[in-house]
Amino acid sequence: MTGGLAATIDVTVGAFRLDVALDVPPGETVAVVGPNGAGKTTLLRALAGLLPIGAGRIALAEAVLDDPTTGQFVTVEERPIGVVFQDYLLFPHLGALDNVAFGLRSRGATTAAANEQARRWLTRVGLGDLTKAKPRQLSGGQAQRVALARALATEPTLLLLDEPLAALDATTRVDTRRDLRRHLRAHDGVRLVITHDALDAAALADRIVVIEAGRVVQQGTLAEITARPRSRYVADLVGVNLLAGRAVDGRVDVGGLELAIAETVGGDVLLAIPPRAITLSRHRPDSTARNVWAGVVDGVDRSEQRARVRVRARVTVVAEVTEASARELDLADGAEVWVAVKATEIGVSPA
Amino acid sequence: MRRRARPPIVAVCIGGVAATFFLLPLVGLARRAPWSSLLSDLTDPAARTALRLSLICSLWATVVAVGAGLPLAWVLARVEFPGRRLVRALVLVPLVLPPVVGGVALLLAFGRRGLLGQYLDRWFGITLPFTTAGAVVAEAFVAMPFLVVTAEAAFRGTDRRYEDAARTLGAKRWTVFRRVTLPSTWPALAAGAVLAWARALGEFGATITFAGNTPGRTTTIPLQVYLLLESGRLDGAIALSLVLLGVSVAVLALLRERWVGAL
Amino acid sequence: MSHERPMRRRLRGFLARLTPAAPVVLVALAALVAPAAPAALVALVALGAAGCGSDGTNTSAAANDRSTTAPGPGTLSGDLQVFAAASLTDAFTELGKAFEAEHPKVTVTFDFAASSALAQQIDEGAPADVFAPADEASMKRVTERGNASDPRIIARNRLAILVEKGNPKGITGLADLAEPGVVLALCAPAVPCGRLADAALEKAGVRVEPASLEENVKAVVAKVTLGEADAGIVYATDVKAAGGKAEGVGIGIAGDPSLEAVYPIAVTKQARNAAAARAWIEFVRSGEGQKTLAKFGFLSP
Repeated sequence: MTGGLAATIDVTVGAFRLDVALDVPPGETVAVVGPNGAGKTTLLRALAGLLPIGAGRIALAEAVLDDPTTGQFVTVEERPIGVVFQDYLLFPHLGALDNVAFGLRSRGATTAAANEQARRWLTRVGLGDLTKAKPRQLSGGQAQRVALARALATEPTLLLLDEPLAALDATTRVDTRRDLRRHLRAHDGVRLVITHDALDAAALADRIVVIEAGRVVQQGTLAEITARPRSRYVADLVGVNLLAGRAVDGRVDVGGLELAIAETVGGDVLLAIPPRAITLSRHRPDSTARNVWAGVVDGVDRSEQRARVRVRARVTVVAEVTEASARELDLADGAEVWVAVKATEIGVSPA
Repeated sequence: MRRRARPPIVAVCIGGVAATFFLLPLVGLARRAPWSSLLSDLTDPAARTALRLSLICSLWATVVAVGAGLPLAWVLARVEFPGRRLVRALVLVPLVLPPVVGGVALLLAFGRRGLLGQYLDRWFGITLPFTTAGAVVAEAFVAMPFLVVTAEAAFRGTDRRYEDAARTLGAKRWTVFRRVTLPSTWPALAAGAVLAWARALGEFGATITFAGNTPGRTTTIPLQVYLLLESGRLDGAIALSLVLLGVSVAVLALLRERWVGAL
Repeated sequence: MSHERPMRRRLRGFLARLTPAAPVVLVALAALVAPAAPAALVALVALGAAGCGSDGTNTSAAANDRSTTAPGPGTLSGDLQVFAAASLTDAFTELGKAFEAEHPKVTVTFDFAASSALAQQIDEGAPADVFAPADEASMKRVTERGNASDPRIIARNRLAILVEKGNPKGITGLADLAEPGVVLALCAPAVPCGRLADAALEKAGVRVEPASLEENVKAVVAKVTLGEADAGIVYATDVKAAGGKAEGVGIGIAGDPSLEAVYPIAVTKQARNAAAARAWIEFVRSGEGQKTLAKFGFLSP
């Protein structure tokens, strides 16, 4: 764990209190997931030094950044960090190159050296020909890449990303997510991604930390969390069926089961199927859904109004139906059911 | 729907009256202007001296207002301190104080026997009254509020997250201000500076009271206009006033449109 | 607001034919449409109209001119507007009270300012009944345009040097004003005290470099009493008025009438209360009036 981030943070903003501990070794990407108002942005601001903590300690690569007991506090501008903000916050009056060169110049590089370095980074994120473009002339995906290049250009020890994909539309998101994943892997510092999207978390992070109301409620790998969700929010979040497969021409082979998808991607992919998007029936459905297969009920988890039904076949998925229809279909362990999913309901992410 | 598209007639009428209220005096001046002797009135040595001096003084006053007013505006907008409201009100004092009273107040503060002025005189041999520097001080006193008020509003209105972003990139305060805050507030700051300049250009009361009236040193256009009126030379007074009007209207129309229009 | 719509149509018609004269009508109409319209706007326009009216119509003044005999005490009434030089402020204010005591139905209102400014205002039609400047040039300017006639001299005023309390620079006469290190404030040549000061300095053969040419004599007094100027050339009456805040030094040129300010007085042509105006002039010239003027440092004519 040497050289990583070791943070215990206790900070109060108005009526809200954030009290979390976080350890991230270098080379690992951690996704901080939580509902709105859980304290994700407060955490990011504390780590960045925009918000001094009330108690606890933040250390990065053995250097103490913030420790109220000793009074040690490294200011924002002195911290070896890079931040990709939610709305990117590219300086509107500067071109892409100047935006990326900003950090280098602020840290003392000559204009020529900074520009040279910035040009390399822009090329690396695939925008080598847009050096002069102002932020308002960039598409959402391009702006995100410039923001990433800007944050990476100073080669920070700690890379913080606040909802890096939230502002993008679905199509752009797939490509940008793949590129982001590649750049994150290439960065050898500590990586922290804040998101509220399970697919983003699964695709980008090695480990997930779930915070709710200022506390860490659960952390671990996706598999660990999926196996035992500890809150309603986590259950909803990871209740998404995540399937790994290989895509060819709009069809994905998932463990011998072939599924149709709406995206045109190829190679290894990760599919996300929300439980509510799955329809169950006793007889082969006369449905427009393009993905239909038969399976056996392998566990029903009933709550007041809804029932989560595990259906085993070549792949196992969880479907969520109303309690009424669960009774009507007489769903019990061992029952044979048909599963149907529309191709458009399946989220796709390159793996 | 048609009702809604119609311009509000009462507002348009009263607005028209207000606009006419501003316009009519100008028309009056233009009508009475000595067009035939305008050139000789303006090339008169006293008039030329006053014109040059006015330009110099108003520009220096703008420099002082910007140099001292911008930091003040920034502090008022960004730093929480006890008595901030009071300071904010203080900045507005020159706007409501009759300029002549402002001039007397300046004498009592910076004059030869003034609170600070006596030490300026005793220690450095600096006396402001009856000097061009004094005229600049008087003009800056009445003009600076325009800059401070505009700039403070601009600094308040900026999205501070951009400054945060700059700091995470390693920018020190001054770099943040120079490369992020300033560019995003530039149009408003420029507008404030232009307003301050225009106010300085037309300053009369505080200047004549604090800096006195010496041709070539403190006799700016407004003072010269007043003296011409006193000696019954209405034509010369109107000619100079027209120049003052022409210059400021042209500059305000051009620059304000261009800078503030970008907002 | 049932009649709002036709009113609006009429207003729009007016707007279409907008001429510089239209605003008066517009304000009146706007006030009708919106009863809450600021009264100030209406007042503003009314003010403008009043100003225009007084310009052309002089019927009342003409009527007054016909009565030649001055009415006795107690028969006078109305407002009396006196435009007087700033240097007469204290003396005239006191005389005004005495005059009002003698003529209880008369209210005297003063406008004290620089003589040249007052002359300008009277020529532009300001509602003055009496004009009392501090120099004959200003009076001449008004009488030449026929806006006043038959001026009389009511007082004279001598120049004096005003110095700081205790006279720290040891100034004893005009010659000392040319000393380097003496900060001198004079009146601007545009005002009577400035012209007189220039004449006196020339006569004494003294060349000075004034630090400031103030726009009126009271501003010179202020600069000296505030300590900004070491000396200034003012009137004897100003030295008296300054009391203990400054002291006077004679200019050392005695009894030269060309170096004295002369105070003429006259009834204006457009006087609306000519009878009271004449009574005021008689009062100022009377023994009591002259005694009051002398008290404030004026010389008799």
